[in-house]
Amino acid sequence: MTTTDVHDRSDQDLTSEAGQGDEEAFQALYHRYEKRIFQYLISMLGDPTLTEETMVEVMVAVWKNAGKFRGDSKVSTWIFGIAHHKGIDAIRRVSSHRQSSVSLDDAEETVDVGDSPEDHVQQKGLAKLTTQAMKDLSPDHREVLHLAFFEELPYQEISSLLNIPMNTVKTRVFYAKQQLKGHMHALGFSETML
Amino acid sequence: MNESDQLDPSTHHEATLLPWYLTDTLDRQEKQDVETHLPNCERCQIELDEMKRTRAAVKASINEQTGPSSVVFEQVMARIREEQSSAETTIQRKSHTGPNLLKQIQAWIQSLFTVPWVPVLATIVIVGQSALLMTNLGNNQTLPDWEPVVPRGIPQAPSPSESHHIHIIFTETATQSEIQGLLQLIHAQIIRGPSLDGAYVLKISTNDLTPIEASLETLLAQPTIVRSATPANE
Ligand SMILES: [Zn+2]
Repeated sequence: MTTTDVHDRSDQDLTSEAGQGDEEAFQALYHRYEKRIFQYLISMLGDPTLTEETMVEVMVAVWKNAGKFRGDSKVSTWIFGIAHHKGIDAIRRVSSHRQSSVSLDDAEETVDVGDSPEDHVQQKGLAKLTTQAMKDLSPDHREVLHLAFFEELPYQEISSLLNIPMNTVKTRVFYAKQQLKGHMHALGFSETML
Repeated sequence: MNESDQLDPSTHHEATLLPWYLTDTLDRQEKQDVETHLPNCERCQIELDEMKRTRAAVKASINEQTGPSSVVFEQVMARIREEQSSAETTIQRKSHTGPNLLKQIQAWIQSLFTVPWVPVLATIVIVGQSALLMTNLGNNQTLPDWEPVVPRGIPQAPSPSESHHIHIIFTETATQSEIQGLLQLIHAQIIRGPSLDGAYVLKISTNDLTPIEASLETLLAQPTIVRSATPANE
């Protein structure tokens, strides 16, 4: 245990201390990453309840495996890697349960066909419209957009995180963006909203 | 996984770099390529503009998510404490011998395969011995009244009531992390191998009812990692 305040310690230090069973260090690491991991998982999974359940699994795995972390990658890449795998597990669980690919439809959020698209846009604003349009993308596409646009990870890092070739990362992001644009237009998005 | 990720062949290579041009995460050469290309290509200029708007919209959408509720934190801490106390109980019971000990040896051997990807030559020796052990000890065992716990280890695949087996040969260039990632993705463990032709046998837990075809498809979609994968009858 060092005398430095936990909040001043590096991710690496916190992880290694958590790996030795230091709960305080783990808690600091948890709070440092909780928002980003939640945002990543909800981009991937869409459903808040499933996201929170999955997040418990991610953080328990971080605790259990912290002692094995050797610093070959950044702590953030390591934690996001765990979240990626747990997210995939959750998608599989839900798909096998529902006999269909993960559906993010939420009755409340579904577009009311009675409204004209323009009304819908004005009611919901850009962020809500984008959230709605994202739901029509596949989990893979939502995930790469999140990592490239929000986490701003280089494509090399996304490639190793998702374990897919670098060219696949580039084409997937490109294609996901095209799809998203199409869905946004279908929901009444216009360029003047930006 | 994503057959749809094929691009129109007329798409400029520079266009696919634009997301990272925007976040300034390209290397110097690539950044320069984009900057040389852009002034001469109207299509990529439009693409860049759209990419900027889409990115702003995606960021706005994600920023609406403020984070998990405090219940998540409480559940995580409860689980951690639960695991700690059960690990302690297990250590106390460790003095038992008989089938439990064999089960622990088996778990230990399997952890060799699932966690670090030991260099192939070293593996051959271990695997030769462990394959014998597993065939001798692994079958027809009654489950002990408690599960051996490998404290603070990578979570082992759950013991499914049923499992699939796959014969797999990895490419020579596949790295440890690629193989590990792929196995985690399909919930597989290496249970045997390598044979003389370099083949391993994977066991896939099927408690999530994923058909074996789906696992094979996932494996074969990674030709840089997997040379061949076929169902194995066990
Ligand atoms: Zn161009």
